[in-house]
Amino acid sequence: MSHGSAADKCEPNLVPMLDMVLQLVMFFMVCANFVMEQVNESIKLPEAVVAKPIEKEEYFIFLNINKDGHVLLSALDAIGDDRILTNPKRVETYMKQRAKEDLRAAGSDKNTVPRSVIILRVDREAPFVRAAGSDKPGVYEIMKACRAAGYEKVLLRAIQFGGQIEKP
Amino acid sequence: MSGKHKRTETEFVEPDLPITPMLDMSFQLMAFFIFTFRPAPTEGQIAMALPKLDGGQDAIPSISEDKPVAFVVQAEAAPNGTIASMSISEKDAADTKPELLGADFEKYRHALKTRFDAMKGKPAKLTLKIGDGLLQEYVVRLLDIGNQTGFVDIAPIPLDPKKQ
Repeated sequence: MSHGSAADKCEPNLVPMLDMVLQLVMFFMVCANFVMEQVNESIKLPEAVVAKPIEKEEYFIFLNINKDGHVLLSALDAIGDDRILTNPKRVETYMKQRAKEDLRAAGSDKNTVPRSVIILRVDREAPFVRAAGSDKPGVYEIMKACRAAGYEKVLLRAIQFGGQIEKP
Repeated sequence: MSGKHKRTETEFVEPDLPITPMLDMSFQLMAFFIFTFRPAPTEGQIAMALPKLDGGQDAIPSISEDKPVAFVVQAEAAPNGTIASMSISEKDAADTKPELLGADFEKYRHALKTRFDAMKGKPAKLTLKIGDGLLQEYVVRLLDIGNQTGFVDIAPIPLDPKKQ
């Protein structure tokens, strides 16, 4: 009767460890923040308690507005090479083009409202109304440009904030 | 040669699946996901109506006797884009003297809550007149508190009538 020999192996059981590691990998893969093409990460959104969870809209147009009041378009949304709209006139022209496409795609008559909902992602440091003597367009001017193009619905994005708003 | 093959008994071979390289790769994958993992803040949304067009058609007047009471909040901006001062008044009220709220959001919240509770379920509208240069952060905060106190119909517009 032999008590062990040189041929006997003493290996740790790696299978449960592998199982656990693969589960962790799966977790991180599922939770990974896949960057949405239309969401600009440089925009710092304000916080709001009443911001409701996002409902998936079937037809939408993302407008990312940076702190200078410029509209940043994604490669998907841009018409031509123009991806930064620096003034409300250009926003209006762009939105009118989008409205035309929208109506054509919906097969609607001329006088109907475009079906898309505008999703505004506005930087917290963007001015709502243009300050006197400033070249930064206000958010209100961009909203007016959207309205002039025929759009009616708008959703303002904010970070969901659970607590009481602190004093400034 | 007899031409007959004697069936030899094959030895049992234990399959050896090398787990170590698989584990190495899994660790590498896990390290990649850990380093690139950035939990994104949860975004929500606030529904708003776009401003009316200049000279556009007004909404059809309601035949209901419950005409909404309109409150107006004026928010002046400081040069750095924060709130310098706020005031609240009731539109078309006999006593048109606005209540001054300073730059205190708690006062603003209290003023709105008192007025909304006094309405006892009657429809109420809140107009936010925003001063030039006020930052979006503060506009959203005003909207947010307005919604929290019960107002549903809230319209932010510029304080300067020429810009409306």
